[in-house]
Amino acid sequence: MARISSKKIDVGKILAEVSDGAAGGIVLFIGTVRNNHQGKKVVGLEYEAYERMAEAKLSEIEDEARRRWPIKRISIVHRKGHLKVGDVSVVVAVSSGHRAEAFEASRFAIESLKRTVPIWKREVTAEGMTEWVEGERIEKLAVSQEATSRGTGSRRRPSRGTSR
Amino acid sequence: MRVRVVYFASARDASGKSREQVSIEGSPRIEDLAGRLQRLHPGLGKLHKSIRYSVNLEIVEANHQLREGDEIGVLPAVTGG
Repeated sequence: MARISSKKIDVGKILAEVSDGAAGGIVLFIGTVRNNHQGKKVVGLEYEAYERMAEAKLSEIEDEARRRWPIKRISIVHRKGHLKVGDVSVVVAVSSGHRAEAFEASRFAIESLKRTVPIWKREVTAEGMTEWVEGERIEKLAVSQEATSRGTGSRRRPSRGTSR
Repeated sequence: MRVRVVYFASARDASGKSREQVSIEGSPRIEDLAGRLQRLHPGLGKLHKSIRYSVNLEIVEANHQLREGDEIGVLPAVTGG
């Protein structure tokens, strides 16, 4: 389930959320706070989100991943607030019958998050100064055609861009 | 008409506020509101190229027609992850 969390992310809880008896594997991506950025030392990051929109957009990414790949479960959780070096900023967890679609769907989810979800971070330096990190203009998530014709059933389109 | 404007991250720093009500004449498009916000808050000018606007939680194009009571998000370039 997609959400923005103001508290430490419980990775075990997210793993439990995506566990599924029909799954043959789970891919877990964990984003953490790095101690440097473009040669500068960083002691922490402050994350901010347009929370209602961010949660809606994370849900759309989950829905789109389900349309594109035959995955079992997916959960995306992103932190807001002050994080220290090493803290977990984002978790993407995907379970599926076979590993290929779990790897592909989790990669899709984290890359889409970076481009389409209204979240911002600023770096905190050792001197206590903060600076917004430069990013890319926010984009709309490109959704499969079926997303625009809801109500015609939940048939899944074959996965795209995958080789099996 | 009146709309609610919500600023985030560097756009909030540039405007000096996190939200405000803005009155705008006629039947404005988002680009009309963007121009008005830049006149109200000149600091937004340098962010202009990286900002996009949401209306009621959806990203919109410049010609999107605004309605009374809309919630407009002023969204600088994003850096989640």
